[in-house]
Amino acid sequence: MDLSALVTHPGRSVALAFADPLVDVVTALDELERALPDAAVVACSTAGQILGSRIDAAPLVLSLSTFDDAEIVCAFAVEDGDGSKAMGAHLGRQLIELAGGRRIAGVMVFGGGLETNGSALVDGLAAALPPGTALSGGLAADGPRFGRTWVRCNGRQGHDCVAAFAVVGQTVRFQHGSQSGWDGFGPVRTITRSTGHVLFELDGQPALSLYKQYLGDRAEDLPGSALLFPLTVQAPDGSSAVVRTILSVDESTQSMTFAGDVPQGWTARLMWTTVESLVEGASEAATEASQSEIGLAVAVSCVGRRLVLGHRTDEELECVVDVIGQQTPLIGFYSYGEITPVGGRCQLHNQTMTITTITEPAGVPQ
Amino acid sequence: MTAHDLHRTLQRQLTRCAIPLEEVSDPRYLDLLGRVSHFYEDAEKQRYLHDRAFLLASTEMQTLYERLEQASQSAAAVQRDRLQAVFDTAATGLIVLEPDGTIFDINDVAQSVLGTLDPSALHQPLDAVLKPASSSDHTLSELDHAIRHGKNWRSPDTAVRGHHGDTFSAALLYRAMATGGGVLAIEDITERKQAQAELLWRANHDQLTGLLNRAALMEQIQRALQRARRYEHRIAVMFLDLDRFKRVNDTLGHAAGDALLVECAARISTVMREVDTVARLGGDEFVVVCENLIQTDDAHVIADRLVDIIAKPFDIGDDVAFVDASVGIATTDGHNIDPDRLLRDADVALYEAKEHPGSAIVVYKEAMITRIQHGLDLERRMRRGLDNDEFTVAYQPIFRLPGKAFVGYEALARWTSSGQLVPPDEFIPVAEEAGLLDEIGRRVIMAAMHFAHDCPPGTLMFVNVAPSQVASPDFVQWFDSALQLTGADPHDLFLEITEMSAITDYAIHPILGRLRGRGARVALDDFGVGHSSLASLHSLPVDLIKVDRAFLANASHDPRAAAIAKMVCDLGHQLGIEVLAEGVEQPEHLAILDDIGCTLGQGFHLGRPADRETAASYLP
Repeated sequence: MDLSALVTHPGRSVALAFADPLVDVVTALDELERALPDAAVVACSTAGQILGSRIDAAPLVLSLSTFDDAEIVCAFAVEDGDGSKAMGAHLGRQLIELAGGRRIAGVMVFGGGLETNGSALVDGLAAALPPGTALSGGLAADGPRFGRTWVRCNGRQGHDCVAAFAVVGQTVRFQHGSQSGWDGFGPVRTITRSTGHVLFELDGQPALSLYKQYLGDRAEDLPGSALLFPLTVQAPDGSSAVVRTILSVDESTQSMTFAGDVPQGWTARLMWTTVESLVEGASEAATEASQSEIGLAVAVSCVGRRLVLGHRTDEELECVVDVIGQQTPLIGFYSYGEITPVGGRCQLHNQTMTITTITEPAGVPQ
Repeated sequence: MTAHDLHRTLQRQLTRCAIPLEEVSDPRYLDLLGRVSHFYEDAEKQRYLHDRAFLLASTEMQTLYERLEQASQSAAAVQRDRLQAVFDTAATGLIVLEPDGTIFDINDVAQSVLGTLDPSALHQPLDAVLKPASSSDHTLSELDHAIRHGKNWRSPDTAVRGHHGDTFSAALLYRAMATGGGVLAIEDITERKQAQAELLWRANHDQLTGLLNRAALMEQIQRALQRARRYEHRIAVMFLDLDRFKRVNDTLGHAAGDALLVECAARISTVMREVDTVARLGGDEFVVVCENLIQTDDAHVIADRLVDIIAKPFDIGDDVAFVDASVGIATTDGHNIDPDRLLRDADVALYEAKEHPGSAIVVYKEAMITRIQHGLDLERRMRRGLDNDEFTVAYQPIFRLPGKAFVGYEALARWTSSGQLVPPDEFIPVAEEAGLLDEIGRRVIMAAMHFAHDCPPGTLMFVNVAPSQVASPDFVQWFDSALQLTGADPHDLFLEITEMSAITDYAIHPILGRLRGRGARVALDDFGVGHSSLASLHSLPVDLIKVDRAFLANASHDPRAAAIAKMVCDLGHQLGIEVLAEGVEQPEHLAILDDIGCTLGQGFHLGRPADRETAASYLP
């Protein structure tokens, strides 16, 4: 199949590729970029590639979207020591410059899954973009291993970097949906010691010990098994409740690193769920993101969900497809963090199924 | 996968359904059974995880609950201890009441306030220990109602009868509790009320005499004015002060002065009616407010009585003191409807009375305030006049009689304002009132000394000095400097001081003595105007008497005046004091002076006051 034939106008196409981190796809991606010189190619590693209602159908899944009128601009930034917020701000400024003052209909961003503080990345990026800009995406993953992730954009690839593309056009619409299906249980605890997204103590006791106690035998599978009990953290005034999932543990300091901030003084509570709740949550997320004539749906689901769903992971994808329709192109991946606006504010989430739908009413993307 | 790899539960279910595992080999069934088997495995793992988490969370919650309960019990115990300590140590009496109004507990202070109680009072109704002082007082019934209906209640002041039948004033505060019953706080405020009454009395009364003070007086006048408007009658405000009171203080001491003021207050009060108001504003100033007056003359009658009763002698210890009262009256005739204005008018009338000896009682008239305003205007012009050197000195010649030999001058202050000569009678009193007399006087004395220095030796120079001027702390020092500056011979100088001042102001006697010690002499001016005793002349530091012009004016047609004048001359001669007659204005005056033996004179007939150049023509 001659992919270049689908790219009718330079700068109006974007290819999204999600790959198994255990498979070397560099050569394939190089060839793809050569074949699509006029398209933006954005890719990242995953904890499971989503294509339609199937998971892990192939080591590399790919979508190519071409817009009738809208244009695509993309940017890439590397962590240069100033932190994730500065990296997000730098990325945003690049996109603004490339858009040249035209309306940015929406942005999708993909960051390194282990090195990036997702919360800070989103704060920096959202602050640089025009207020109200639709922003979604996720953090790259390395299966359940939490070893090494990567992100790529038009030939540039790395683990501590971030890639984004923006759709520039008057008519393109982005719609988002996000649900978790998790519920808090047990006592509400206070985060008594933390630094950024590193948690040391809850109620004055090492947080890692608490997790090991709750995981029992499955503590051997840390940090992956900690995904079974994510944390919901909430500001002392009762606002800003977000779910945080673990990225790594450090036995020497008895600390746990999360995908987003776990501010000291906030409250935290362990969460649990059932397969049925997760599947129901995915269905609700799809309903929220639904709009007529969807050109492309991008699903970013949490690796923690996959851990719980196990052999029934397909069920949450089948529910999404049931809502958005069998004919709607659906691509995505299981991630270490989901990015989507909730209640008007764009944030990093964990343990959610987030769905972004993109539509160009005047000429539906191919 | 084979059927033997399936979940054990699924294998047992297949066996119970009589499906041998060996017969399950169709890949489609195996795929289905594999998925069901995975579901069983996942569900089992999840249930295990959740059961474990549930157990751990339950244990944690139970531990937390126990800690919370312990903390709660501990906190409750602490709270109970604290409340008991507060109850026992409160400075206020506290009674804890059951919902039905019976006493649950009572602290020591409450027992003390109500009188020592029988322990059996506990669990008795509140009214067993707390009774109204009067059976007609239903305040405590309201308290009982509040207790029974669970409402808060307070009474800032209730007359209560204690356990032993004694009565006292109590502040009561009842706080109903949400759980039933409540706490009654009881405070004996009897002493506080007495102290407040005392403070209130002090705030409204003069401490010395017990009369009302100024603040209370103003309120009384305000109320009197309201009543006067309502009932259409008049009120009068009388401002009274004592003449010669300062002398009592100076001679007999302040304690005697205070005793006199207390007696004055008592005398004034005896003259006044119950409805009238008597106040002391301070010093020797009293104010009386009379209500229900038919006409202004009624006030005059009352004022007469006041003057009479004050004029009676005061027995102060072993001494007897005499003072007179001057009274200024303002009534609500006309437009006096403001308390401040009414009091001011009475003050103005009093000022008028003091200004005119012999007028002990003066009723306010609009013209008086006009005169005061005129005085203020004059003062302003005078200050400007001093800056502009408008004050000059005129010299009137003095002659020895009967040969009319020139002996010297009297230096007189003259003021020309806006081209008009202002009479000394007009500006001197205002200058004294405004404190300008010293400045004017010193300028006159300085000019006179210069002139005296330029005159032939032995030419006398009379200069006028006011008592306030002499009493000035630096006057003697200034006098010495002036002598040094001008080169005048002090033996040629006569300091004229009015008879009244010399008699009444003992404080200046030693100062006059010091000036005489430098060679200057003292002349007693306006002799005969005051009430001085001739016999007291020998005790005064005086070298010469100037007989007031009135004597000479009257002597020509009043033989008695001539006789008195002669007697003064004779007495002067006997005491070695020279006598000078003022007001020699007619040729026949010279004959009279010759008859009575007066050897010095001055007046228009002998020579008018003139400027220095003109006056110098009299010099030999």
